[in-house]
Amino acid sequence: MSSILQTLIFIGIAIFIQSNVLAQSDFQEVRFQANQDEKRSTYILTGTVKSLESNETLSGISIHIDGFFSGINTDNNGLYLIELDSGIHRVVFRQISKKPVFYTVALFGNGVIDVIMDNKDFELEMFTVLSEEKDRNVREPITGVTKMNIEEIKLIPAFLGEPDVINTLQLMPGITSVGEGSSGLNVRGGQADQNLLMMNEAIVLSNSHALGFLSSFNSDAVQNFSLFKGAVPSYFGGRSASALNIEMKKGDFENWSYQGSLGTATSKIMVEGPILPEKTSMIAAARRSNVNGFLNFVKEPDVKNSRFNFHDIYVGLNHKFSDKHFLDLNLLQTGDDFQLSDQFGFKWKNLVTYLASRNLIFDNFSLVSLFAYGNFNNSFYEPSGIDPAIINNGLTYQQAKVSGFLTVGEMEIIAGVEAVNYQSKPETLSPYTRDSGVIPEQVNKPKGLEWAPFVALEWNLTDQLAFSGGLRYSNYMQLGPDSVNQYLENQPLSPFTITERIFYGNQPIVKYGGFEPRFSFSWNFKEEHSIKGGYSSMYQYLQTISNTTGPSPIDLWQLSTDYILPQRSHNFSLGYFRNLKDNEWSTSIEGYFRNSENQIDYKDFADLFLNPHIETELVQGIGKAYGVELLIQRNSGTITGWLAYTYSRSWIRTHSPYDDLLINGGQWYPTNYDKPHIVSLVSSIHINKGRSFNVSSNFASGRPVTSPTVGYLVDGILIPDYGDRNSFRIPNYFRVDLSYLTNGFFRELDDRINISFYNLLGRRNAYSVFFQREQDTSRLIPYRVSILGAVFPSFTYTIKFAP
Amino acid sequence: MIKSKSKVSLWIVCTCILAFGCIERLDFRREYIEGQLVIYGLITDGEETPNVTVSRTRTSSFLPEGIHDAIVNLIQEDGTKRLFEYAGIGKYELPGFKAELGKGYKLEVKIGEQTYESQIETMPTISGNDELRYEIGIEPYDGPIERPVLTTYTKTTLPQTDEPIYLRWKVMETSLWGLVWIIPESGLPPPQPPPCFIYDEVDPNRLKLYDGAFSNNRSTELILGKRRVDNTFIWPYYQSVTQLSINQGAYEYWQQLKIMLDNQGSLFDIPSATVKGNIYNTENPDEKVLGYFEVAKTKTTRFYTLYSDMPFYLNRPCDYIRGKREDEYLPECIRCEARAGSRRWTSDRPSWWFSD
Repeated sequence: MSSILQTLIFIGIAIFIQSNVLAQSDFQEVRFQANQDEKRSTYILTGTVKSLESNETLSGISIHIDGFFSGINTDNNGLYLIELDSGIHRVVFRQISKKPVFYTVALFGNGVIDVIMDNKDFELEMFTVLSEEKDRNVREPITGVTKMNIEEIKLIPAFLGEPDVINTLQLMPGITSVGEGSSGLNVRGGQADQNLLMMNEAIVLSNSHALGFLSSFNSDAVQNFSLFKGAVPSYFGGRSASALNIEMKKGDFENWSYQGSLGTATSKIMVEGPILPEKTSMIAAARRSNVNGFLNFVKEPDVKNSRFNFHDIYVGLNHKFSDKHFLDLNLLQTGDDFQLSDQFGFKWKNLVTYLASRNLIFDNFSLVSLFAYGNFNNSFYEPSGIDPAIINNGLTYQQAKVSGFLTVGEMEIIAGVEAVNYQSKPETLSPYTRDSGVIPEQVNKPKGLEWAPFVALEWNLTDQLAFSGGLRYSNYMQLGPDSVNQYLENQPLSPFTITERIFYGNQPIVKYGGFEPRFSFSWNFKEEHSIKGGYSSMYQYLQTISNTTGPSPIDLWQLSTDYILPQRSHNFSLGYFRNLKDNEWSTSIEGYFRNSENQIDYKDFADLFLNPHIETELVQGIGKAYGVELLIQRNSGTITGWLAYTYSRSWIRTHSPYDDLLINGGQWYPTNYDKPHIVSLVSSIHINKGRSFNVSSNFASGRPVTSPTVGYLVDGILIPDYGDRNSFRIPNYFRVDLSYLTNGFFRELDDRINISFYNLLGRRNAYSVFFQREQDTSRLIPYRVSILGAVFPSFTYTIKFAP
Repeated sequence: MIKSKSKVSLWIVCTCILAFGCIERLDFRREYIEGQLVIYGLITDGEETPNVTVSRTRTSSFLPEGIHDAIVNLIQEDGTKRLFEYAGIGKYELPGFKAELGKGYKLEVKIGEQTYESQIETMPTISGNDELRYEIGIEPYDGPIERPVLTTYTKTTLPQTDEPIYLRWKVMETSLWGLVWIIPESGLPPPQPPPCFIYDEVDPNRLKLYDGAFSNNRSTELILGKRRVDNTFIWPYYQSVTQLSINQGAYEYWQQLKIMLDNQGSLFDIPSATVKGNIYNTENPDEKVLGYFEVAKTKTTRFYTLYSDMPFYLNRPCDYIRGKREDEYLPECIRCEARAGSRRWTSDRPSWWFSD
């Protein structure tokens, strides 16, 4: 017995020594030596971490010192800075999708180690969903953050086979939309316009193609995204619910590569490579719809004569002045043209371009400056009828932001200032054809300047406790020149109570502002367990105004004015995070509550277009949203994916001294996007490297609608009487999508095939309801309007090659 | 391997369960509400008899149920009350009364213990002048099929004044229908049956409204209605266009009804809501009362057509054919009721009917 024991002990020791020797052999040795007169007890180790594949800086790389996680990750620019005792340390850079990099550092002086990390080659039957650390959800100090990269997005079955950020997000807990074909996201019971959408931190106003079925971000050019749905950091502001930042790819600095895609829905092309090797790179990606061609094969005349075009172009130029100074120039241009037969049509265009410089000023201080310009135009028209007409409106803006990143010990401090100057374009009505008798009209819209200094702190207090806090002071001015309506005192705002219009020159008309405190914490009280909580307060000065059933691409963007007060929200969240089986499984349960002031809704029968006194059509109130989110996610293995359940409620209550203006008598009522129960199941079977079979199912409670309850006669005309606003619900929503991703036909090329079936069951999910009279009783009977009432199969072939 | 297979099987089963559930159809019926009071009244300065309908909504039919025991009074500025007479099916009338221009009127309705009153409505003093014309063409009507259609237009001229003016129009048709005069083979012929004069509203769901504030040149041209050209037009046919000059509140009320009736279920429809009127319960102002009490200055203009105006051949089903028995004719050739259906009819020639 003892000999067996001795043998086992010997084998154990041998294995330990062997593994230790193997491990030791992976360490690269580096030494930093200070001058004799600069010797200190601690020194700073700093540097940049980049990807070998793309040469891009990598954020979120964890740094482990002498076998323990230091609590420090690389920042958004891939920079890290750590203060260590003088001596020899084992330093390891880790990220779950990358091969770890090991150093033995003899630190007897300040040192710089720039690290290049290579992707892991996953073994068969092993796939990892989270590209970042698997335990990130437990350790990340900020609550309510959803991050994903494009490889993960591509696994999810998509509408028309087109991987899409916005559609993917709708499968995550707490995120939904009004329905198929509606623009925007509703995050934790927030309105779509309460979500700040950014491309590399530059504001983007229009995010949809094809009436909202696809986002305007070509997935080929997307690197990753981060959605802050809980405590939004103080360096983001201007919206009252959440912030979504989409990081676009940078061109390769070393090699040219080309990618083309042909599918039933879209055609895409992408080129990237070095203009000046190691100095300047470029990336250009373009996408256009193919759907229009298929309409000609449809027999239905209305469909055959319809038009359905969209395109987007993304161009990025990146220049390295040195290892410490970078300049990025990016441009995103998107456009849509949709016309239903000769009945009506919409066109919208969006341009966002920005210039950003990133500079490492000192070893522990970097400065990022950004200037962006946006131009958003939309129009809708009636091409036929007695007087064909077109309405145009839009918005331009200039955004400037300067942020400084300072790392001190285990604290990262971010401070800066951001300003956005908005100019709404006049809304115009014009004849659509030469013969049209429409008299041109124009309504001027307001201008405004929003600016805010901010400071944020991320601090790993101990191994167990992390804190993230910040403060933003938000300011807004409505700017002249403009004329402002004056109304009779003690009378409701109405076109009939306007007394005069006062003209303001180049001066502020009205000012709003206030502090926006933000904080969140993470208490990692046990390995793989944590509790996180957060609070953020936010102002919103730009909102969409719509009286359609759901958000649409042509919704008006409206700035705060004398009469339209800015929204303000208070967001609270608390969650418990638990990972299992060495982070193979991640689970979480989060609760949230938000209340908001001055949330906008429209009055009954509001007329919003070409209205020079739009404030008379709106009513403001308070909103509240609350819910619980549950997520169970498998990060690695043959089958990966997640199950997400959200219980979410969203309510609004209008206030006014005039009872007639109150919606539903001033009582709480559910918003258009109040969907109490949402369940998503996303799963992928990884058959082998490059091949996977993916299914996603999405269930949601029907959203509220307003329905007629009874009928009555007025002067011989049968009139339906509608019940309270949003007092009924359309049927529940359910959809199953399927996709199969596989390698292409040519082994020597990097080609891929995507076969997908959207709405596999062909379920006619209701988007909205309309009412028609029943013959015998004259009762109005509800009929569902389904946007997609059939299976949408698609096939996409993508080829990527480098000369 | 077995473990892996069982995982895949479980995954397939879960997917199938989720895939074939949740079949549902739209039905809001059980949630309908009944019993809401509806009061609609109109008094004018014209020949129309002032009338008020009082009814209550019900779930068994989308049409409301008339209330027969209401006490309806018109209250004038000086406090004088005039009692309406009950005329059946929830309708109350005040024969012989004409409202005076510029005077205020209020409606009072008592139902049991409850009293309902309208706001005071002042009779407008100005109206526009209508010049009517019609066109007959072929176009899609009541669906995608093209049919012969008569379209009525008005060119309306407004008075040169800064006073606000709000107009709505009602178009009534009066069609003459001649019954077949069957002459026996022998004996004296019976007297010729009197013709039917059948009244109906033209295109009632097309609400015709106009706000004078939007006119720069004080005139406008509007389509008032469309009507299919059928065998009605083999006999003389009249349209009587009544222009009602109404108050701002009434205009807003009708404007909201128009939005609601024009909605087609499109994604871009303006969502509908309850249209609030000007009548309230004096003891319980929170009670929802549907309908409106309006006063209007009216002006009626007419045109007529003859068979000779029709550019199409129209079938004449009731022409006398010698030897054809009475029971071989269509019922509408024998009886006015059969032709009129639910429409109002009379054998009395209207006073404004043209003379031969």
